[in-house]
Amino acid sequence: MLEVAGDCVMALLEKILVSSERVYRWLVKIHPKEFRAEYENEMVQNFRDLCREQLDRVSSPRVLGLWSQTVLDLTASAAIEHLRRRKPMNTLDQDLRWDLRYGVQMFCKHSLWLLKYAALALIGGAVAIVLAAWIWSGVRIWQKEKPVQQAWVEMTGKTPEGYFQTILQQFPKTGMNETARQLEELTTRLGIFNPMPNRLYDGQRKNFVGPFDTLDAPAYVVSQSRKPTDDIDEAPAKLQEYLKNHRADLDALYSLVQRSEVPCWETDIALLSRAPAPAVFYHRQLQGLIALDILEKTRKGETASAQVALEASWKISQSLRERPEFLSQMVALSVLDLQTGALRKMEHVPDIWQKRIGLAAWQESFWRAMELDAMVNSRDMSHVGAPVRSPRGFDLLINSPFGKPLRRLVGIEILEASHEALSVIRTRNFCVLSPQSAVEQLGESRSTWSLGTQYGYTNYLRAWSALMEAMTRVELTAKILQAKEARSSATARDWPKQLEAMKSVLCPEAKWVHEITPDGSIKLQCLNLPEWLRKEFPQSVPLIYSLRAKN
Amino acid sequence: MKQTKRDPEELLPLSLSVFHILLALADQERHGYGIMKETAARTDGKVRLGPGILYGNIKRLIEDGLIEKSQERPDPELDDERRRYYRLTQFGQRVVVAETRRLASLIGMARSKRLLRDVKFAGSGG
Repeated sequence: MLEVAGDCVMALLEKILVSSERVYRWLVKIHPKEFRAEYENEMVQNFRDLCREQLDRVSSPRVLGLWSQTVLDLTASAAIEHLRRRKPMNTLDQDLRWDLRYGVQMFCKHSLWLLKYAALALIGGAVAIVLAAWIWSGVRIWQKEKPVQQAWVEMTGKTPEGYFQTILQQFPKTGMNETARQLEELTTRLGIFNPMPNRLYDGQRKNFVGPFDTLDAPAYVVSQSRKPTDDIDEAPAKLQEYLKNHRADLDALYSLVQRSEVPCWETDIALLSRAPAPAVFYHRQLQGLIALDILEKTRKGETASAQVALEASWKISQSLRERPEFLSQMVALSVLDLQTGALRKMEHVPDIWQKRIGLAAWQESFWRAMELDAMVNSRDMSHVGAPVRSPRGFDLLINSPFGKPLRRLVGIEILEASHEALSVIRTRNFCVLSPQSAVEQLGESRSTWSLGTQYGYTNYLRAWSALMEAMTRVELTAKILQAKEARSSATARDWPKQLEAMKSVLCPEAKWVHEITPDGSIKLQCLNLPEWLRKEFPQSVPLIYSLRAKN
Repeated sequence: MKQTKRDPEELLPLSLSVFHILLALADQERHGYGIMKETAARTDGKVRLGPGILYGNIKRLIEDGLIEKSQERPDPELDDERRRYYRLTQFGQRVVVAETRRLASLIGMARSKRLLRDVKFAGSGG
């Protein structure tokens, strides 16, 4: 036991020695270059000997005393050497030099105590802060741990630890499957590179913007999906040229996805925040390309092959939906936007699409992803030691080896804050209260000393508002598909006068209405959607949509 | 080695640090750390030369021809071969003697003024 303690002390002393020497070597650099060339190594060696001599007495305060002398010694000698370098010393200079040296020596003699006590005060202050932080963390952990665990048990049926272990069992570590590998080969040929995880090597990085001069899906596809009518503008010549040149690769891609299992990329949830995650722009570019192809095919009346492309798009996005991470769900949601944009323009969409884009499934996967995300953030803090950004300048302490109890507290507070946010999502009626207002209310109710508040729990409310926004578009798409289905089954091939189930599932007050215009088009409109939804997403929610008359 | 024919009096008075360095080298060659240790031991820790002041003075003492680097190593087996040893030159020897005499004459003056009645010096016998 004593030997182990002795080893620890020796290791610590050795560490102090090495660090001191490193700092000294750095400080010596304030001397003129020619002086250093001659004496630097000897000075460092002497300083090392002095340090070792002090440490042999197992006394770190002695090293501090040595440091206070050393700083003065270096300051005085560097000043003298720089003065001497300017011009040769005459008698007056030498007198001045001696005066300076004498002054420094006297200062050392009479003020050393001041430096020593200042150093001791600093060390004492630091120790007091660390002790206070430990005590504070201990008390807060004792106060919070059980109630937070209980709250999670009530919400999920499991303790946070149990929940995380269950998810780990459900989603064990997996590698990339053959479909994903072949898909990446094909997308590389299409100029779209997957940077996940670090698969984007340097040679490709300059092309990372993708084939459409943007990180995102082609601007044309985005503008078409936001257009409140079902007519399709002709694609820019550059995009048409691209489709023509890559026809074979695109068809190969559809064929691969159609005949293979769902592509699956690396998953390793145990790595927490460093776990491999899908690359949003890879999927946006790929799905944007497929949506472009669907739009072009629909515009040309090639409905069957547009459906093949749509099916491939869905199967690829399944790889995201089936992953448990929050980020995967968000990427999947952004991809859904491109899919529904293309769906709204299509004729004869299979019935299954009504179910695929349904609200319930999305809500469920979002729940699970947000709960897991809270666990990941919490564990990241208390188990892994990821860097912390604290709002009150505690960073140095929390990130140091002394910060472990604080990190554990932050981990618990993350769970606490996330639970509050998720409870709000489950219980509050967002048809009345905007998620932004809910974020503000939560922020006001939480203590500013709660470090866990800083860790993105508000993201869940913002994600939820994004989900509601996307689901509004999904609902619009579902109504359009419903209207088109009714028309295709009608004998006169006119828009039906009546459409079933026009209530919105998003909000009880919201209601879809339709109107047949004199030119035979149908206009769909959602009334009484929440005010915040209309205000916060005015561009992206086409609340009034016109479908052209059948020729 | 330069100006060994110079008058040692030109360099007087020596600073405290310089005098202690020359004193430390008066009886044997020493390396920098040895000079620091010897000075601290001889003065009961009242004079401590830091590496910066020490080597600044060593540089100037070499330039003035008072000390020189030694090629020999007193005990190579016991010492770090990277250490450089320094020794007094003949001129340095004359300078330190001259400074000691200057100080002794100062002491004599103090004695004549009866300022040092109660002070005894090692080896002085009184």
